[in-house]
Amino acid sequence: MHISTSPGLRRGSAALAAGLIAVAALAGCSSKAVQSTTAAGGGLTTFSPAGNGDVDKIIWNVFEGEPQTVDPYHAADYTPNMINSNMCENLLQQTPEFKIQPGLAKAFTNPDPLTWVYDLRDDVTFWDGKPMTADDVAYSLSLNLTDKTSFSNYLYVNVASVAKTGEHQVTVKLSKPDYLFNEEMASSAGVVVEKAFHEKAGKKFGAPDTGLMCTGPYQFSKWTQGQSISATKYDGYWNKDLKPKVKQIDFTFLTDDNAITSGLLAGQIDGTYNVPTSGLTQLKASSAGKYYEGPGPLETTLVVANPKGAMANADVRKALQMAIDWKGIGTQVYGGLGVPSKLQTPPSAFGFAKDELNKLADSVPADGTAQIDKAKALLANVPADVKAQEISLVVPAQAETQQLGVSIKDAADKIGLKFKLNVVPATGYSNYLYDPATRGNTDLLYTQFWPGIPNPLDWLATTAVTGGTFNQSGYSGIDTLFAQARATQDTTERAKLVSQVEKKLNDEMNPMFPGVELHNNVWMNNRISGAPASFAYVYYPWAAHLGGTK
Amino acid sequence: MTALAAEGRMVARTARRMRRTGALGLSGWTAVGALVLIVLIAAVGPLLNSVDPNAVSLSEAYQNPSAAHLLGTDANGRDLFARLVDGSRTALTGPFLVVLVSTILGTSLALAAVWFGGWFDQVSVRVMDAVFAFPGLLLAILATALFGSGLTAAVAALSIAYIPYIGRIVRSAALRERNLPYVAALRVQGVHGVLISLKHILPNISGLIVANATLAFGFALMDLAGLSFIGLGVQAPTPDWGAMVGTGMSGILQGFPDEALFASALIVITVAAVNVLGDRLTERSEALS
Repeated sequence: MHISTSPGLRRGSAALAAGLIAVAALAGCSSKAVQSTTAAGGGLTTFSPAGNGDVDKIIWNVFEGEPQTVDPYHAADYTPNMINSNMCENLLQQTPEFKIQPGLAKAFTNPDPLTWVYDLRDDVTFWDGKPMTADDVAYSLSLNLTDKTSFSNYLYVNVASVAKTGEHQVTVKLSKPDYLFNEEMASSAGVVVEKAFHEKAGKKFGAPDTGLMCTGPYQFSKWTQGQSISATKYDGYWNKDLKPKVKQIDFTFLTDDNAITSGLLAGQIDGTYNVPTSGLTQLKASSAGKYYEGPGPLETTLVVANPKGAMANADVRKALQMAIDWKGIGTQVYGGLGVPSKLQTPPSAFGFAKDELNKLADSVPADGTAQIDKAKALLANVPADVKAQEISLVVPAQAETQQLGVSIKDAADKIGLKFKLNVVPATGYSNYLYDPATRGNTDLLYTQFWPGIPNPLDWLATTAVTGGTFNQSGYSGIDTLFAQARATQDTTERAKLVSQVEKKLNDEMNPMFPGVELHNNVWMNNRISGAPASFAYVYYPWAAHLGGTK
Repeated sequence: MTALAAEGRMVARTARRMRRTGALGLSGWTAVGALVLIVLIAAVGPLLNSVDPNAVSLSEAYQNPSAAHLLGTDANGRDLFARLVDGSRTALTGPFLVVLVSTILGTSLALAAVWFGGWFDQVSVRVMDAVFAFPGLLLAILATALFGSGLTAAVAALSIAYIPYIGRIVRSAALRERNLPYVAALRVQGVHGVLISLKHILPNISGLIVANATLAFGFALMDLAGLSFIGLGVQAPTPDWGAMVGTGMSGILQGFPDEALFASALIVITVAAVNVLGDRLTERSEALS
């Protein structure tokens, strides 16, 4: 008779009840004394200490959840890349030190500005034992050219043809000089897959029931949807200097910070990259494992997604950027891992233009602290009808991103802008980045991403040039300068052009706001060691360095 | 042992007497006191508190309680006391709306079903059974998926989900009333059915309605807080107890459980008080009938 006995209502309240119990339980386990701890690892490191022992199986958590596919042509996010970087390799290879070296191609030449010739290794085999041929490589590269949905398609804009020109040689012909293209062979634009397997799999390539056929140190083994992806070591791996020591890696998909932290501390998960900020203090202090920080071209930024509305006004964009406490965000939201960036391209992606861009960055007065009065003064000249338009920001519903969103809304409120923060489920957030219909009239989008290679042209091609994946507002202000830089052979001249581009972007504060550059971090329990601490896990077979500590 | 048994018997006797007389008793009045205090905080607290609950100061994150911040600050350096006080408004307004809407609609539907009977009654009962079978929280999650996160969609969905809980109880009570001699007498006098339902049956079962609406308030508060906890209810930066439990979770692992604990405590106290009051009101209603 009474409502209190209704099972429906009890079910309805169960989630919160569980939350409240968890709060009480976790609160009982924590105290304010925990915060005064020292970080293991000290400064930034590229590699954690080598793990030399053989291990049967480890569980590694993929912090952004289960991917939809591990197809390297259609996956460009932390989750799939962290997994398939151990399975599929590129013509060239980026090292954890952010250097580019030969990979599946042992050498390359540039006989004229319109030709790149790649000499392939002859000792590489796919997991099924078949040798990697020039046909496989030509087919793999051509997919980026012909498949408009391929993530790297935009990097092939100047490619006229890809052809086998020898038993172990492939030649790429360009329609115009492109001095970004070759280095991109160290990104997923240079990935090599088995032609026969790919043709047979078709659109199911990389899907849970189909998997992949590549040449990396780990082979796709099993995908239990909703639970894990298993990769087993490939005994026929060509690179004898990088022999995997862990027989099987199960990648799990926990996304909740508390669950990840508890799993790590309890030994149910052996390791993770991107250690949950909320668990940093406990994990650093724990004797169950070790924590390391490394360099990484990871940038948290705001993308101007709507060319109309208040964000169309340069002074509004600049004022908002001035009002945001990026320094505080780097310290508080990212647990001290974030350093404010002065330019739109993060410093670790300055690459060949390092000297020029460092000089330009030094000339930018902003240090990332909020300058409310200056921002208000800048807004004084903005027409009232522009200021009256609401600015919307969408962030995914995660602890850090919500905190970031709240900070940005507060900055906008302080300078009198009308601002709306929309927090959307984390699992559907990528739709805002890639689907214009979902994005609608959203003015600003949170992003945290990395360049494919340590080269400012790669960053700009993605973020600021017409057609770039993250150029949501269709900004075209640097197209001409960018094209000029891309076609310039002389590195010094190219660097000067890149510096001009960055200055223009900074002057216009478009199409994104410089945010904070983040250090990478990794935590492993005492069973294992060896993972690169630098941000290499999205393009380098990092898991091949893992090994047992005993 | 003997003394304890005697004491137990005395407590049981007192409880039985209270149930017979319909008195609220100490627990009931304690619940009333707690609820009055919480409602007063929600009504006038934000007016008396000069601190902006949304003012961010990252350099003041996770401050301990002080004169400037009575309960300390959260991860964004916002004043916890101000947010808890301001959050009481959203925490209480949502459930109030759910209960108001579902009680009005559920009662109206039940009274109409009882009065008209026949196919209308059968259809009403089947519809309420169908809605009853669908978990309210799931309906609310679907609504937020369709119409976007926020309090409006969640309140609308829960209002619909709660109609059967009120409607079924009101229907059974009204059926009993309808068969009593006073209703037959009124019909013989030619009083219109609507008037009989509203002026005679409804007042006689109002105690039961209020009691169950009170209980429903507690459950609605838990449901809405749960939705905010998972990010589908009240949206940041608006303060809300459920949302504060959610955002405060990250602070717990860092050694700062205050936000989640304080918000949780307020939810528990409010729901417990509402449930105790609801139980006492139900007993009172049964005693009086």
